[in-house]
Amino acid sequence: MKLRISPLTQRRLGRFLKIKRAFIALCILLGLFFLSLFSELIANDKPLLIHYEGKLYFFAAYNLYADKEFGGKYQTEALYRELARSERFQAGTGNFMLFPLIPYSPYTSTLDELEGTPPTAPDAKHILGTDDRGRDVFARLLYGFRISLTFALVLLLLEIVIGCIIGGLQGYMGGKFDLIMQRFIEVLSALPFLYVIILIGSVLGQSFSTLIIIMAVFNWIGLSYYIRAEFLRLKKYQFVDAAKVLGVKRFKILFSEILPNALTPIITFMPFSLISAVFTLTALDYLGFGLPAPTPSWGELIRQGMGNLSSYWLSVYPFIALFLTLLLLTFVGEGVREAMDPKEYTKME
Amino acid sequence: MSVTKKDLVKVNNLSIGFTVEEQYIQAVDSVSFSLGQGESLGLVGESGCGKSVTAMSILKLLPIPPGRIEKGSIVFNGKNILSLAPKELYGIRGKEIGVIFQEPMTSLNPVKRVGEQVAEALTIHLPEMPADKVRSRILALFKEVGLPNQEDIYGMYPHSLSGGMRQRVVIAIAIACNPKLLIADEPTTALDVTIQAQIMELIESLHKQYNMALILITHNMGLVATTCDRVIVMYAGRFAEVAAVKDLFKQPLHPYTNGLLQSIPTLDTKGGKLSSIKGTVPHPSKFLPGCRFAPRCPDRFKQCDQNTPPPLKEHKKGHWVSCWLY
Amino acid sequence: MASDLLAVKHLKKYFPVQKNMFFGKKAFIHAVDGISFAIGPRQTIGLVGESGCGKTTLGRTLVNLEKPTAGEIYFKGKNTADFKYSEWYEYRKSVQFIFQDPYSSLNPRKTVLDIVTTSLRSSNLLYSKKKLAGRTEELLKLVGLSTQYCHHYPHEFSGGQRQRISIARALALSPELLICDEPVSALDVSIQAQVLNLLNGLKNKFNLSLIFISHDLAVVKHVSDMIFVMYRGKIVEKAPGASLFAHTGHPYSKALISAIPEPKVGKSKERIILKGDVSTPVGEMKGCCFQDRCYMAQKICKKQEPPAKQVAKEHTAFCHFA
Ligand SMILES: Nc1ncnc2c1ncn2[C@@H]1O[C@H](COP(=O)(O)OP(=O)(O)OP(=O)(O)O)[C@@H](O)[C@H]1O
Ligand SMILES: Nc1ncnc2c1ncn2[C@@H]1O[C@H](COP(=O)(O)OP(=O)(O)OP(=O)(O)O)[C@@H](O)[C@H]1O
Ligand SMILES: [Mg+2]
Ligand SMILES: [Mg+2]
Repeated sequence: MKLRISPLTQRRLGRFLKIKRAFIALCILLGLFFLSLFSELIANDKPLLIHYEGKLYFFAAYNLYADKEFGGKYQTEALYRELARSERFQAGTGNFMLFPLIPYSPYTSTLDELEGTPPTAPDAKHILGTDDRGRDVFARLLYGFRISLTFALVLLLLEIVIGCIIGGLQGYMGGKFDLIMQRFIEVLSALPFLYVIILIGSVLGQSFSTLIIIMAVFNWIGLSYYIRAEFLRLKKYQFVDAAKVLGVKRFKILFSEILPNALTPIITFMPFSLISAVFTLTALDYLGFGLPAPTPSWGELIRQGMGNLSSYWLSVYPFIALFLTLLLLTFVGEGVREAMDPKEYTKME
Repeated sequence: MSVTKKDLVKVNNLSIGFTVEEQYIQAVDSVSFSLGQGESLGLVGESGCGKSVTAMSILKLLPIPPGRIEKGSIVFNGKNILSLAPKELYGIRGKEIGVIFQEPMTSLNPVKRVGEQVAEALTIHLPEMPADKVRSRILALFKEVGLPNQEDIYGMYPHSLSGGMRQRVVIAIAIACNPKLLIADEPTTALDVTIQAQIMELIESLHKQYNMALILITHNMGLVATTCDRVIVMYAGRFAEVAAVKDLFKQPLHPYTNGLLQSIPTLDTKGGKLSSIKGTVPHPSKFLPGCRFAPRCPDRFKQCDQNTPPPLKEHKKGHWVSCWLY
Repeated sequence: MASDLLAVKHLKKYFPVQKNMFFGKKAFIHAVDGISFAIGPRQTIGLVGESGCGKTTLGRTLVNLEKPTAGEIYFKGKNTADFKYSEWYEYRKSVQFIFQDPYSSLNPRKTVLDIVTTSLRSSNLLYSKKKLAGRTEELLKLVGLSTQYCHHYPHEFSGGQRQRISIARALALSPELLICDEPVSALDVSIQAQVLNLLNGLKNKFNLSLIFISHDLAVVKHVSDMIFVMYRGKIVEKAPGASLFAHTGHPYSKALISAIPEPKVGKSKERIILKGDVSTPVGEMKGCCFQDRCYMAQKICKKQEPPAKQVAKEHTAFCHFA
């Protein structure tokens, strides 16, 4: 079967592509996110290539090589940075290691190599300096970007699933179910979010998954309002009645007849939801209620910056990264909204 | 065109287009007509053929952009509408030309009492009228358009009136300043047959009583037959045929008019197959060169596909047609 | 009768309305108020009446889009209230509905193929992709659309073409009864005739029964064997097409006939202008439902519900003076 994109979707896509700013911003974001998926090859203390005694070892980041292979004593993974400096390694002719561009992982503490006391200012080795534990700031920013966006995307997915199901059912069924859910939502949104996070974080321990679940539980509400309104509107259309007459089952009507028509608010909502997720995560990390240490995160860096006011690089660079990410997302969001719902201004003379 | 009485409206070679989705659509193509004082003119045609746009251009009531008046002139009562300043236009709209819109639901403001809305229409043009006089004039108007319990209705909101009553209020607004011309854009399309009969009766009687010129836009051939003196049949932005009502229904010249009249089931037609015009009205962005009706025309020949039909030609006295057959 | 395809007995459908926002008693709109009729195979019934008289509600109740407040619907002699699941499936297959608005009755996100095959895909039988495509082409040909339109979306079509798609969708499961709710009133004049001809042709080809709802008496007369005139949720006159015009029994029918503007000049007929508006049928009404607009109303009309009076063969009118 020939795949045919609906002409309406085509027009929207065309409009989006025409909004240069949004399109470029989306390209940059996607490009950066794609690159950040390979962060292990950009900033890592595991070499890309090892040549040891005539044998080649590739991508230590993805393949586990034991210390023993390089003449060490342990079965555990080799400590490449130490290994590279060790006499045994340097003695062999032709032995070499090719490290990534930034030869530090976000967890690599370089206390032993540093000249001053951390945090150290940017220099040739650490282009954005190091933090108070001697870890490379650039590496932490890079991994932080990946974590922020991954977090935001997973959260978005959860929000969409929960929001669509609950909002959709509310709108479609109406009546008592709608009323009860609406009260439930009111109760939920009255709960102090931060308090719940702190509470659950201290009981269950902070982790990526608990944090994301807690946030999803609170964040689907915004989307569910839109979906509910869309479903309320759409269920009055005759094609819904037509589907009933034709014997389509209720659940199928909900998801294959109505939902595809309610995508506009979801798509418009997406970039803005990402913005809020990135921002909230940074804020929580800043407060120390976010992801557990030592996860690289922007909020945590900014917090260090607050503690070390004279080390500007700890606060300025993450701040710039945050600012740029949010700006790009906002551009995308604006573009999407404009493409979905262009406003034309006319006047009556 | 031969109009014996003094021309009230004279439209010459008017073309109007719209830019929709980055596409230019010619909604009205080189139309000319005139309307004498006190005359009633029917404008019939199918949805989207440009009836409303043609009629509203007399008030210069077009959304610009996307709309654009390409060429032509419109003269109303000796004034060139297209070159008037907005202020002068406001003086004509509602005062000299009254309009009844298609949808009685949306042409009234839902959050204002209907009395106030009529008062507004009145005081814009007669600002020095004292308030109590305005009120008594409105009550008289309500009575005239056949609304019962005028005092009560004065204070009601549009949603508590029925469709027919709303349309009566709209008519009251339209005739509030005794206009010289009344444009009725499908005044009864949203109404029931028995209510339609009431409203048409009212419009006819007002038209006669005040010697207003009337432009009745409709797609209902029956309404034109009972109400109008002359008819313009429009197809896809062009005039196909202009004639006195009698002539048109007795002897339609244009194949489109003919097909249209044949395809309407009437009380006299026997069951069985209706004769129908094949095909559909083309979308304005897909107009072909040549006659726009040609693809659907039973009588078309080579000429029709190649050349735009000749401008309206007087086939018989007062019966104009734009077709290569004549 | 056993030969009836569908029979309706004293069917009622009330919608609740709150009269007063705070303390009001519950009032009801009597959208359909005690309607009885039967339709046999290959019969066409035309249903006319003004806006709000309950035509659509009656149609929707017949296809189970609304639950009747009271009354019974018999399908091939069996009460639908006692239907089991499989019987409902059979009913769905046999009774189909065509909606008034060709714009909102097609899902804008689906292709013609998806729309036309909706019922096939949700039926218990499994169809292969190829079979679905084949059936779609068959149906499109039947309603006079080019088969190349299979993968187009509804908004690429004109109103008349959309109505054809609706008809194709309704025909997919080969129904026996087609309920058409004003299938042509949203269409252009020149397209109306095409769709009417199409419905007429299909009716003969597949031996369909038709319930044809419209507010246009001329259209109804053109397609129907029997015409029912409705007012305020009730049928006020039942007559074979020709007889309705020859021996009009009910004053409302008379007014309706006289109010039709005919595309003819010269022969000017007497227009009966009814007073007042069609009112929403809220609450019980004593006596005749047409009393407040009737030009013949007498005292008795306010007191007694008019009985069925035989006007001519198979022709009854519900009026004291018929
Ligand atoms: N505001 C607008 N923007 C874009 N296109 C318009 C606008 N108004 C009218 N048109 C186009 O101009 C053409 C003529 O429209 P018009 O409203 O005059 O039709 P009509 O004959 O009055 O139809 P109807 O019977 O449906 O009222 C149509 O093709 C329509 O798409
Ligand atoms: N879902 C509903 N809830 C409340 N009232 C309703 C509902 N559906 C219909 N009604 C009312 O029932 C009455 C009959 O409506 P219905 O739509 O059946 O009329 P109709 O004859 O089809 O009119 P039209 O010609 O305008 O389509 C109207 O007064 C309407 O307001
Ligand atoms: Mg119009
Ligand atoms: Mg209806």
